[in-house]
Amino acid sequence: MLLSTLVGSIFYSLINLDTTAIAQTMISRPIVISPLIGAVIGLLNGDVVIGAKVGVIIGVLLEFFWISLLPLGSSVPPNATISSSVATVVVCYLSLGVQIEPYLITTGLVYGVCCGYVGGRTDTWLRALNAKLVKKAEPFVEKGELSVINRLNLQAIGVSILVNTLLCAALILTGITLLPAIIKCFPQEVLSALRSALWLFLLVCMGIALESFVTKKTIFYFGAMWVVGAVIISRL
Amino acid sequence: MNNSILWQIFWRSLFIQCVLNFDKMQNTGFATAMLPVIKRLFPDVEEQKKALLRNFEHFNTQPYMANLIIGLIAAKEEKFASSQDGKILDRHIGLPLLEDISHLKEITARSLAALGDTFFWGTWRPFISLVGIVIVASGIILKLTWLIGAGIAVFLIVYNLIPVIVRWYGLRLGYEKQEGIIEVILRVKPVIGRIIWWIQAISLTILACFGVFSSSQMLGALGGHGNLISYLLSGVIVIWVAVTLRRISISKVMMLVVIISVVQAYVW
Repeated sequence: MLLSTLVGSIFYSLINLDTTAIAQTMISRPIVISPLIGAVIGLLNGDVVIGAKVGVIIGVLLEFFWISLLPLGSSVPPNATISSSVATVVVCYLSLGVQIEPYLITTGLVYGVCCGYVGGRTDTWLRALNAKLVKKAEPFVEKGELSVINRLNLQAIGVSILVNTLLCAALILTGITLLPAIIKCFPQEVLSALRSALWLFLLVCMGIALESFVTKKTIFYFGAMWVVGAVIISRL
Repeated sequence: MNNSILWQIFWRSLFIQCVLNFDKMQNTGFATAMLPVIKRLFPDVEEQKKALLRNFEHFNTQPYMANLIIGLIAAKEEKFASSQDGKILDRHIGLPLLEDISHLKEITARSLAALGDTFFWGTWRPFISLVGIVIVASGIILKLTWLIGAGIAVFLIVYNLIPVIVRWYGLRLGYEKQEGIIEVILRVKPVIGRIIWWIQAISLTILACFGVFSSSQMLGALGGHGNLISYLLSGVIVIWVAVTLRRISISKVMMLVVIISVVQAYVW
């Protein structure tokens, strides 16, 4: 458990640098990071296929869920990377040796979404910390020390890796410890509800995606396309 | 400035948001990218100090578009270094060159942020995400592993094509055209508007087709029987969520989904 947690959190904190700090190549998006983390955790626990499978399913659903996150100006959105990393590690760990249960995935997704908001708050705090680092570096800039700029970058990267590794490890450990206990308390009805909630979750994700593309005029176009598709599928 | 310096700026511009902060936003990233220029143009320590200070001011724009401004400011710094008194008037707006540099930085950053946010964050990324999701999900449903890998690869490669081109050619364009980039932005704006319209139309079509297809598959997987009514009902839920999200947050919609599922499990 500790090894999975440690590897998952270090992997997350390194790839998370892509979200804001370095390059923004989107390797930190759930659709990429979840299958990777899933495969790594699977490899550590002797079942790469199950790990990668869980990673792909969670990655697709969370990519859909966080599709419209906009990092505009000074606004800090929830962190989709921590959301998918924690959900993948927790569900992978709980699925070891058993079948991938839909209720486990739904529970993991809900927990992952909550972690996304915690990650967003941490990002806000890190930006405030960066402001302090910049303020501290100002006298050196005024003196004309060019090396202070590179030092500032390294400091910010170091702090980000450290804070995010600790946060991710704490969230994974909490998830691995708490979720099985919570699921055990659920009656059968709730477990079957969580199973069908996966379908509703997918519809909600589509609604979120629709919201990022649609305007008042084009909503009718989307509705018409859906009706045509529904008619065709129901006749096939 | 030669290609080697431009490559150094390009490489360093990838760190533009490394020390992103609420006070001065991307100021450290901007100074990081400008370091090779400062070192080359101002060998005198006193001049270096002044150059570092003026490039350490507040700066905020869309990260992929920043290189246009970095190129522009590098050209202006070069002009300033060759004039050495800083009192020459700029031919475009008649301000002294140093004031002109910070004025240009401010106005171009604002307009490029608006353009970049709308295109990259608001349209391009969600569109490529959607394409990646559809390919990967089709791979899951049809049990084709290669399709899953292809979906992830398409997402990463196709997405990054435009940002890399904009970053590299933006840097060169800013450096070569200088104030001329404002005209380029004005010329490109309506074209980007049309591209956004087309991307949105294609996205809606993909989303509707994928929505109906995945609904039918999910209903089957959950042991239900898909029929026209259930597919139409799914569409109503999707549109309801999209409309509701303008008033309530995603997390509240999620809570609602869980509550509805639990109630439904107890009632039926």
